[in-house]
Amino acid sequence: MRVVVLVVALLAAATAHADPCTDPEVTPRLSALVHARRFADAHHAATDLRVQCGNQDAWRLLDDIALLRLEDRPYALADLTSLHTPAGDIVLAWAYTTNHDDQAARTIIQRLPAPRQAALLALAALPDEDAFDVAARGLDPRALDLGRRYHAAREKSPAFAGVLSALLPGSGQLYAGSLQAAAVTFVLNGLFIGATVELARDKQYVTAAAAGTAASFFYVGGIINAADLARRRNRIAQQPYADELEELLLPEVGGTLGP
Amino acid sequence: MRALALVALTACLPPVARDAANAIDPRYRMNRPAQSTVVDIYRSAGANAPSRCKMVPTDSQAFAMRAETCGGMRAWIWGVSRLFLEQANSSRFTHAIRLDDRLRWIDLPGPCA
Repeated sequence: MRVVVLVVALLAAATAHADPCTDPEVTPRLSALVHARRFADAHHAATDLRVQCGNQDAWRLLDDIALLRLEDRPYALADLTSLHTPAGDIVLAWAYTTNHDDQAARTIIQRLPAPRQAALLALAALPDEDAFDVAARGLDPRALDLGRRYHAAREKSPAFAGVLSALLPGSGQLYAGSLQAAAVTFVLNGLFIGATVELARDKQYVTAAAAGTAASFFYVGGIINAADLARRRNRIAQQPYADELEELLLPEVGGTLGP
Repeated sequence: MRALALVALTACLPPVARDAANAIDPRYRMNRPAQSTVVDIYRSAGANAPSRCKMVPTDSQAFAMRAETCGGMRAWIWGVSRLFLEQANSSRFTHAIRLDDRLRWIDLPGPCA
């Protein structure tokens, strides 16, 4: 009997907030999806909510953040420009800034309160260690520490990796930390360059030109890959600190809603 | 002066988008680009061949996405670069996710740099 009562009570509790349009837990759940980086899930959930219940500012904002993270920008930017909420302006300024749309970014940043402007400028300066140190002064002291750890986590120079690979195909990959990629790059480049030279010596110019074209693709691809591997390695090593900084300085961008 | 500083500071920023952290996000991102002839030919030729591609999206999908946004030449160069990335095969360079019952490396084509 007690079990039946318990089940009925649980069912009653579960159905009490069954209507998502009035359930106060729906918005925090949507926010949690964005926080957990389940962007496609968040976008689909937000779309359902907006169709079913009409627009709410919080849902629109979270949907726009999810779409920005998914690189589905045009709708998100258009929606953010019509949102006109403090959090919406911060996300919009961040989106324009990282989208290299400096004129639009400046317009929005001017509307923000001074501390938010400073936070945005500091995050924008993050790739440059000295500029970040200057921009982060006066902000939360943890930001400077996180910035230092972010820069200390940078392990490889993409430019150096690219130059190495240009001098000796494969050496940039080796520097970036991949023996397999280095070996494959070296062997493939060696084969194609060797074939081009041999064919040209035999005066088979058409075939040599074809081999040379393929060789040039593998040569340039190898340089790009060496720089890319170094950049990826840095990004993966630095990402936890960048995320922490973003959460500290601009929590709205991560999907954290204000009170 | 402040505006100039902002322009200077934003010159080397990463894009807003993040790497996919789950199986749903890459599917969403891969659904958007239109099909290309290259992919159509490749798929019709190998329709019955079992795919063991380690990458998400596959090389042909990535090529089509890049060709559409960045042009053919860049797509070829990045395609070669991606082949070498596939050889690197390490979590130091890419994130792995479980997709179609297999662990695969994510490499979603980014901006045309």
